[in-house]
Amino acid sequence: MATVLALSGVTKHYGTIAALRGVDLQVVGGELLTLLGPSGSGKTTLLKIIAGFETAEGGVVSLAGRDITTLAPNKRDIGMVFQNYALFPHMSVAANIAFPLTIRRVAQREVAERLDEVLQLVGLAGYGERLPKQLSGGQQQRVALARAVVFKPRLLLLDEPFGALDRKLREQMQLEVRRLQQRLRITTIFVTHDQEEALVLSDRIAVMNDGAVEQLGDPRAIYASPANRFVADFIGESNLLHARTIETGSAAVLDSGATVELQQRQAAGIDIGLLIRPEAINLTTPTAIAEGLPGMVDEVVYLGSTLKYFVRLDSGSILIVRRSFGREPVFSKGDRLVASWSPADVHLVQW
Amino acid sequence: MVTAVAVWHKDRDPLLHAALPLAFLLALFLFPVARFLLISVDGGSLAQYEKALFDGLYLRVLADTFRIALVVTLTTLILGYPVAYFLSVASPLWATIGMAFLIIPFWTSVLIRTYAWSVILGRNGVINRLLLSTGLVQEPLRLLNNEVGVLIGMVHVLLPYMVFPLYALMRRQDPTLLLAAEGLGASGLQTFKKIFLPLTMPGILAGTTLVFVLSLGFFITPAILGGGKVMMIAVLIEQQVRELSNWQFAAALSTVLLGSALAMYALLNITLRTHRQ
Repeated sequence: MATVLALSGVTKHYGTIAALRGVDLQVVGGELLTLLGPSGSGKTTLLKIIAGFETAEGGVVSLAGRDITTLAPNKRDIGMVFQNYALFPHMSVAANIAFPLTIRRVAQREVAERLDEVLQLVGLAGYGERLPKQLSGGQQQRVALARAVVFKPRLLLLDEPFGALDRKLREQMQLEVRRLQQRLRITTIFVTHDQEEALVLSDRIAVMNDGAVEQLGDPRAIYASPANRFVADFIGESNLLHARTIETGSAAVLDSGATVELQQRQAAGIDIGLLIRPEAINLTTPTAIAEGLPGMVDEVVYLGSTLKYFVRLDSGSILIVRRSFGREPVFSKGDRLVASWSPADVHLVQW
Repeated sequence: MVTAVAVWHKDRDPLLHAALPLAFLLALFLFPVARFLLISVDGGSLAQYEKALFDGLYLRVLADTFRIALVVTLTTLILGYPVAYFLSVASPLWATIGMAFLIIPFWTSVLIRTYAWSVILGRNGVINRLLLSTGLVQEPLRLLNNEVGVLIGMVHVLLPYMVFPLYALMRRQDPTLLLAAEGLGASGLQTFKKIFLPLTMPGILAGTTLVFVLSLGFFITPAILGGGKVMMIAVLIEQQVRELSNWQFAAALSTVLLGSALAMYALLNITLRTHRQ
């Protein structure tokens, strides 16, 4: 697929604070790419630069091969859904959605046709005459979405659009947005701080931190093999243990002195982080032959089909462990146990 | 104590709470209004109204009053709209400074401000001396004792009444609406015409009505800066009472003025209601 949006070396400062430190990113046609990061990571600034509400100090933004770095927002041909939807309160739903078309002087008949089509698409047929304030939150969001795609822009931007919705509606809208995006095959950039949302919706995720892209990849890769400590920590629940490789490089020594086996040989004597997902850790009752790290159950949380344990190892560090409920022994608060994992489930990250 | 207060509140008719203000209004407002209504139709004749509304001389005064009020209203709107916009988007510091420039004169007596203008606008006033010394004009401009002076003075005094309602409304607007319009392809002018202007229309209506109604009844500024050469209805009323002791005619003119103000207010209400739908 062809690259629709290309960013190269985009920088931006606010005063002395660097909001973006040279971001390179390519978004290919029809994909949904998520900019994921905590607040202050630069994801919103990057979105504003793409939309044209902010101008990059350095670097180039190009859309469909055309340099748009300093182009005015109204000339960019980009649809955007704002966090608060930004529906025009004095206009009906139909007038809101038709706004980008009337601005472009599209013929009346075509406006009516496209309006019908897009209202159908977002499931709001028959709502055209209402005012935005007469709609529910989810309906307002659909109007905002319809307005952003009705003029067939080259790019769709979604700025944390689900934040204001309650959990159930949020999940429903996420799926709807994804369906709509795939049906229209519209290239989309989605900004969120919610990693779960990013994993559900995205073709690819760019994890941002401190004005830079830490890792770019599909959701599976981001989750399974985070590039560094930040990504490991930010995506999903994780246990990250500091260790130092021993001379042979086939094992590492934890801070507590315990030795853990490594699947792949590493250079000797370096600091590494061991990332173990909560579902990869086994818990067994301590016996003479049980191998692993000894500890004690600090807290048990019941989560429907799974149980979440907070295990305090004898070394003092806490492990989060998630076990399916029903098939294995259940430990209670205060129980002694041994935590272990297969070397294949350990992902190494730079310390 | 608490129960005593509650009982006092519960047992008293709401009308009783309003008794004092009602008595006040009745004695000092409704009674005089009723009196001059009665005086204006003294002897059951509408002759005074016929004179006020059909005599060419007085019709002229009424027309001038409306024309001046209209010019003042439009001028304050043209000047006040950008000022209100600036204040609504300015940083807190600049908004405070700008507000001070509006509010401090607003708190100063109209009489003092009007006399200040007569000093500024006079033949030997600040403006004329400046213009003469720079050679921009050969003869001093006539800015006082004519309609120009009256308009300048009235616009100055009434500008805050236009700015405040506009400012209050503009402050409440969501700035992302303007970004959204721009992002959807609208130019700055289109965004203004299709989004910002309609959204601030209630403020425009409120401000123009306020300024227009106040202008209709303006007395001090036209009396002083007009130098007797600009006759507005309030000046005429005063003349009828003070110089001619023609209370009947003054009362009829006052009724016409009151009716005009009420009509403007009704018009505003109707427009606002249709605007909201």
